[in-house]
Amino acid sequence: MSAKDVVIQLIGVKKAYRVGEVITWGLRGVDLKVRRGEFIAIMGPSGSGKTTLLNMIGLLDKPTEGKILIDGVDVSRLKSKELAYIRNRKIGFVFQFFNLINRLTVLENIELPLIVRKIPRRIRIEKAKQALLLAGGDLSWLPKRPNQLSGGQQQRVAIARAIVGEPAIILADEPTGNLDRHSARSVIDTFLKLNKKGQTIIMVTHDPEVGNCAQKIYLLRDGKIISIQEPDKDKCILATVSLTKSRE
Amino acid sequence: MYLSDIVRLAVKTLLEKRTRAILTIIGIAIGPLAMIMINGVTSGYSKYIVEQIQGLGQNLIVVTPTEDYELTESDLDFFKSLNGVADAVPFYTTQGRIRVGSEEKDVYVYAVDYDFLFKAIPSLEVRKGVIPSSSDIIKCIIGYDIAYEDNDRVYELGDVVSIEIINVKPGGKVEIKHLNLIVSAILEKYGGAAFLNPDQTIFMSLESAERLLGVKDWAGILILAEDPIYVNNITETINNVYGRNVNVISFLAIAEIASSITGAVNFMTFAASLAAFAVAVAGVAATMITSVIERTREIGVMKALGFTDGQVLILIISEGIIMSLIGAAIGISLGSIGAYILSSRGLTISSGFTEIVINAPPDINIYNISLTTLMTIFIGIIGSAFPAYRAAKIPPAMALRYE
Repeated sequence: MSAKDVVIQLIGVKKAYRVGEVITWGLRGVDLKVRRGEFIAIMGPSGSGKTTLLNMIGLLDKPTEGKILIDGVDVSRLKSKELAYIRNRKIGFVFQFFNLINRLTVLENIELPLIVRKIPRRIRIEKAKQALLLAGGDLSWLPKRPNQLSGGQQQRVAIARAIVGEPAIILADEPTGNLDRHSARSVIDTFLKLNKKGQTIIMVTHDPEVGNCAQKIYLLRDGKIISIQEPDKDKCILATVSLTKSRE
Repeated sequence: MYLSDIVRLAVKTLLEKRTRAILTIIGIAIGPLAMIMINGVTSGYSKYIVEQIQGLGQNLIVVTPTEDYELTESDLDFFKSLNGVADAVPFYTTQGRIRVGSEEKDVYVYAVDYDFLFKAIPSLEVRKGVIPSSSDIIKCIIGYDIAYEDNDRVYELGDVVSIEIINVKPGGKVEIKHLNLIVSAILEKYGGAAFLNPDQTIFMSLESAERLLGVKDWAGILILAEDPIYVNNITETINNVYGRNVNVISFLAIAEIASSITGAVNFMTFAASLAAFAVAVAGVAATMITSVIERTREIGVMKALGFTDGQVLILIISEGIIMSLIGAAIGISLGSIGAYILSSRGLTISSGFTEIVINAPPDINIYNISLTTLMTIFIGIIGSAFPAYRAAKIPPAMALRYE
């Protein structure tokens, strides 16, 4: 596998938080390489630095030390405007609490990343529809408000918003954390389908049934990756929760 | 971002908290309302006054002697010799009373050369009859309001007007003289003149005043300049030569004074409006700060999706601008209506026994409206700038954690 295939690389990434005189370390030196088309899970107990790590990869936060390379470009010292540009083009976020904007319609939520790029409305609508279908959604949701949909449906709208700009990576922070088992299953099912089409996915979760669906599990503890595990596919939520019972 | 997207997103945000937006807009509207209303009315009046004065003749200068001085033929010759003077004539003026049916009516009497009169006040027109010759001492010209009362004819050409002239002599002795003149011409309605009231005036020749009233002292001398540009020079020269012996009044100077007074009034109302604008800025800022704090997490999401700090700033400021534009539209509309209501009541100026009511429409023009709109937009920008800047600068990771 050549270096070209590496989408994300973290080299000795450390993050310190200073509260008054006290310095606490969120990350104590993380090295990580994610190749194109990989689906990895980051697991660990709460406070282990999972979300901090994801924020670093998602360029939402800057490392105190170390380097972050996206498509071979060091982004750890870029200005906020350049970071915004890379987030928009290269990264799609999926959050635990969906973070959809309720005053906007589903369509308007999905097209937000394209508004930044100044893509004409007609094309945006087309792309939003495709993204919603890819995310396992239904076109009848488009004129609705997010809060008129169920949690599972909202998360699929959020996935559509994450993929509409065809990003290099999807970053998912506890994407099933706020969902019932059947909705969680369908979200993971959607991730696997996207991954099959070549989508790189990095997912933070504390749910083993969700983590075991990925191709690799990175175990994080006290701000360090302590092990890389092979997932047990039999414990993946797709195997444990039957699709037929799904309400969606 | 396209402008249409910015507007759409901003409008949706405002509609979400409708009541708050409406209250803020009302707060914004007060400034432009006050500014358009007060400015419109005052500058309407000032425009009217200036037009009136200019109608009287911008070339006209009036020289009246002070108590200890007497103007004579040699003064008249001196004025005529000044550079830029087209003509100069003496005049005499007094107040009198005439009978209209069973009532008495107060009138002005002006004795002046007829040719000069019509040259100096170009807007003065004869409705009917002929201008008598100066030597025809028993003839006169009467103003519209003397000839007609409530559109009923009171005096016709050829009628005799009987004028009772009350003269207060030095020492307080009152002398009453009766004067009978034949109406030779009736003037067109001149309108609510503020400084000279031809509608209530009887004009006679100076010769007639000298012979019939025994007037010896001139009330003053009227000077007609060749062009308004000479007026200030002539005024200055006379002032320099005569000092305190005479008062020199040019209508041009009065017009300038009137403009500068209303300019000062406008400035004061502008300053008062600024207070309303300052309150509006505080209102917008309060609304926007609350709104931005509520949306902290959402702003984090937008940044995660790739919105730059600048784009977040623009989105939030445009909310302020949209509220301002609506506030300006409401304020300007209500202010215009208010200005028409206010000015329809008229401005009453009383002096002596005359009362002049100025009925002038408010002066609301493109300049007024655009200045007010610009200032109101400025409120929106200033009021939302700080909240927007704060929102734009929140680190996205922190904003996303915000509950």
